[in-house]
Amino acid sequence: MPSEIITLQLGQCGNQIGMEFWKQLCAEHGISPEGKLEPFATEGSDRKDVFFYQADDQHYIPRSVLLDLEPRVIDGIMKSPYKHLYNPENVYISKDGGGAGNNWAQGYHQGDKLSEEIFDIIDREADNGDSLEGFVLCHSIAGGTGSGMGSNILEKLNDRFPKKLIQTYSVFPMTNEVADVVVQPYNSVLTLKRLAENADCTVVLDNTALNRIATERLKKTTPTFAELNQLVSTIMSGSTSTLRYPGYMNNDLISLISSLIPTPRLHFLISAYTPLTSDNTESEVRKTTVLDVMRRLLQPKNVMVTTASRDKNLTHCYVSILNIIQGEVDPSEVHKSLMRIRERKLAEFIPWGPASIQVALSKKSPYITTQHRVSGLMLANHTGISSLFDRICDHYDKLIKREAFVENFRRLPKFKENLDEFNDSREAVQGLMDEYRAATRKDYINFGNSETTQAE
Amino acid sequence: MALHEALIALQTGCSGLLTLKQDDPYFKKRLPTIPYVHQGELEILDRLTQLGQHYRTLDEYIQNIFKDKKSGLYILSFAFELRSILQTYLNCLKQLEHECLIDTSLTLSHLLISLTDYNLLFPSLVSLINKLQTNGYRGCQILDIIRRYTLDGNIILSSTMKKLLCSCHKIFIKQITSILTRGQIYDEYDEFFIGLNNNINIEAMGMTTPSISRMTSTITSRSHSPDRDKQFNLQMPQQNPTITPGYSQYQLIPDMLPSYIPLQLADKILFIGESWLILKTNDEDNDKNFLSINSIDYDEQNHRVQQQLYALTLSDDFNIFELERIIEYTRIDLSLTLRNLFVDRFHLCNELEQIRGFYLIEHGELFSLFVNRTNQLLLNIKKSTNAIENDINEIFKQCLNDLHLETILTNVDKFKFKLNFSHNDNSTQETSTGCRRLLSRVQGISDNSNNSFDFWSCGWANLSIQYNVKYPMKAFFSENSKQRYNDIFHLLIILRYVQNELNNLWLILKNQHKNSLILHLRNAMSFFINNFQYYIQIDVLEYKYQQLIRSILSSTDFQKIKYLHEVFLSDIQQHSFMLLATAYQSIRNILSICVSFCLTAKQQENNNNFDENILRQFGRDFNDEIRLLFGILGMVQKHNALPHLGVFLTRLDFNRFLTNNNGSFGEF
Repeated sequence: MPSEIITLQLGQCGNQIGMEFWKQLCAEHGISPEGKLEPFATEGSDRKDVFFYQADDQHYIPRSVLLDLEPRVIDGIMKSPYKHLYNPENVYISKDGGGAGNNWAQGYHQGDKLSEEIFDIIDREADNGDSLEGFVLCHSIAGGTGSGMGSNILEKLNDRFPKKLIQTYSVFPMTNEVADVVVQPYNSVLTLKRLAENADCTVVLDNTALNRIATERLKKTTPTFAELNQLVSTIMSGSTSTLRYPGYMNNDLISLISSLIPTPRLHFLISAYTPLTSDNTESEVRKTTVLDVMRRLLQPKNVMVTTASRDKNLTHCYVSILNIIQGEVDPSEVHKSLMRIRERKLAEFIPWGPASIQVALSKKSPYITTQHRVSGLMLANHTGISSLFDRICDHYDKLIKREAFVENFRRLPKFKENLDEFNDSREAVQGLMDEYRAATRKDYINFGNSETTQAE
Repeated sequence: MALHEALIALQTGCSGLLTLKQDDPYFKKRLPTIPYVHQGELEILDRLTQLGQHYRTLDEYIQNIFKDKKSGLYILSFAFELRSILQTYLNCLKQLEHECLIDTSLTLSHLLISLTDYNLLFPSLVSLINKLQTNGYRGCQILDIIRRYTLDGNIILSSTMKKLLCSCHKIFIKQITSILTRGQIYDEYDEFFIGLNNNINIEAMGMTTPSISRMTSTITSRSHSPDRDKQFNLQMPQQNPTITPGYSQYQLIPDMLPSYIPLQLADKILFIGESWLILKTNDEDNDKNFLSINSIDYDEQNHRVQQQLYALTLSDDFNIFELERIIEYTRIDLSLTLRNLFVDRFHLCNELEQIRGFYLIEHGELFSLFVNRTNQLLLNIKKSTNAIENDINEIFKQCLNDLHLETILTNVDKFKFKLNFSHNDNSTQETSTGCRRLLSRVQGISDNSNNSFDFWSCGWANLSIQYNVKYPMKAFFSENSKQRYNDIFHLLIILRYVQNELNNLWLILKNQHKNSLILHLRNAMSFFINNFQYYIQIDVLEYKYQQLIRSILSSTDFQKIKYLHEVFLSDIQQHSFMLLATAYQSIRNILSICVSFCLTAKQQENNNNFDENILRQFGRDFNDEIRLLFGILGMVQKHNALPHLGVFLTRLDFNRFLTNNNGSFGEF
């Protein structure tokens, strides 16, 4: 089966959002929690084979690898109705079961130790399909397993599969209040370096923004984890909908990614989805048109990352936008909406190259009824993402100045001799922020090149 | 004495006294004076002789027509009517002779007065037959000529001419009746304005089933006087003149179309004829009688149409409005039947869906996979062989299987990929000199001994689809429309190939974390290709296609559906700039620059140092073409010639980068 995608779920957060993602996919494709095709779904024109394969008995099995260093979350999945969905060989829990203790270094070290076993699974899964297109990694960058082991796996994946795409859905921690994990800024910065260097595309899911959206849009005072995870799975399933319900275009991951990412380092994407509904609340959005949807997608309050539109005397702008519009859409509506957005200057674009709002039209799953005629997902490359990195670095700088909590790191191999890894990572993130800032300027084309000539 | 001379002269054009030179119509050789005839009477005699001369010319003409077996029905009918006019003239002479015998004191003037009408009429008739003879007019052509003579202020003249015209119209109406009621052309002498299309392709000829219709003789006899029928039977050779050919073998013959029959009307008649063919043709494996699909009683209806048309021939004045009404009536009925037949029975929309699946690349994932798998194969071939074509078709089927699309694209057996290298001559080679120049430069540096590469001569640029359309869809998808579909496919598949190459290049470059010129150039190209593809596939194709399907479903008129399909095709061709030669050339150049860029970049992948000068040259060439295209399209846009063009320009220039940078995609 061509262009398969393997999903890697790492750590507590990764497995939770992964779980929600598969739930959503099963519902959209008419697959029961046991992996059986529902009788009503036998004649679909959807492509299940990108994310699933069929066992000998025709069961659908997700191309998914579940990894964790502690058993709690995966055990939970294995007690849910979906316990028979996954290939049990693909579920891997570290034998000592002690977790990474929210320590990046611990996670990284464990990842190193267990890599042989983990890559046995990944290699087997990769050989399973006939032309693997890439990997999708779900994790959080704040904890220990998702960040540390995730970083380790990213490095190795890139080495082992240099021509395959590596996309991550990375949950960024809350930055506006006291963190529940004190070393969270360390973990984040260390992981960001790997995301910048070893991933091809990172969809940033900012917990701060997710919470805000859940409270504002869904009218929840204290959103639960499950509800936040549902938001994430909505984004994940939405952004893969053109792969699963193919139309004229954007039917592979590369075509989605390559149009969004002009230069390899600017690959951190923000996302938005509208209209959002939850199970027990009625949406406040009653009528949807393409223009409404496209306009809402550009509103900062709907974007799942909190970014500043201006900082340090520069105006942030979009590098690229891809809107995936689902539902019955008349192509001329799209055009009218684009014209309107252009007239009203609702989106500011880069000054150094051609850019526009690319639109991908996607079918809706016939098995899920929604009240809305049209729904939309935005994936965008926005230079404002640097403000998020900035905030993380702020917290990091405060901690590292005091060398707070570094003892836990020093105990592990990578930091035994010195703390260079910290500085390297901070520098890499700084480079990333600089590049994003440079991308707001007209001379971005020469960014980096002039510096190297100066250095020479 | 003079009277006697005159009467002879009136019949023969000469008499003992008034010897005329046979070949000189303006008799100069009359004896200057005849003693016993008064000079004034001589003048009258001259005029009477002239009349006789005309009579003889006309009579000879008729005799010749009757002798000539090849003159055709129209001329023959004309001659019959002319003969009856001459008969009245002879009767008139007889009457005069009788009068002269009774009353010897009658003067020549009396003769002249009695024959005034013929004095007017005969010169016109002579001039008419001269015109017919000298120009060799025949069949429906003579209708026009005769009609011109009916437009005369003189009532006698015009009414006689109308009679003549009317007699020819009887044939005309009979031919129309034949095609209107059973779709057959009753036309042995090639006189009708609808004829067989002899240039039809072999494919269509295969289903030609010449059948002999029993009905023919009955139609011809219905409105004939027995005496004429005899004549016709004499003229008719043994073979049956009616033919029932395969579909779309009728064509209009413009030369034969009388100017007072509007082209639209002729088209309708043609359509009705073709419709009958569809309804009556029984394919070998299809013995159903399509006529039963509607509850209309065709025999009764045909009878009515025959009656109405026959009524038309009774009046001297040809009532074109009535003819139009009858034809429109028949057409609407048939068109509805055909619409039901095609849309409900033959599932026209499904067929179009298949067309969209193959020609218009609806299933993007299928063609992406196909492009991926045949990428190198098609790039490297320069000429077509059966083996390669088979390979390509096998790969395609495999792709179809792998994606589980067999249940959706069910007609895969009817569609075959073909490699057509025939039209690949000098004209196309010129277009690629730009990229060749570039490549030779690359080769000069990298010492690559490859022959210069011309994208337009490789497999990708010459891939087409052969669609084996079966009866009855043949009636809908003409050869011409297949060609147009192929033109669009040609563009779409190349776009997809180029896009695939650019994406592959992205994969190659993704691990170089360096901000480099090559990335920006790739982006600019990719931006153009993606937007162009979106514009064509969604803004134009999908939009127009949905429109077409909607109007097909809401229309009850098959002819209109056919027309809408033609409009659909020309619309999409126009909107993909195929009809704007300079713009299309520019697009082709852009495509080949992109391909050369990708191939060169791939070659350089390993040694990892793309020569910056070559790169910049690619960038400049790309920009030049973009600027040219943008300029041309801008001009077109100003004239508002293509309503959808604005969509494309908005996409390309969404952040006004092109506008701000003088129509270029960056500095290279």
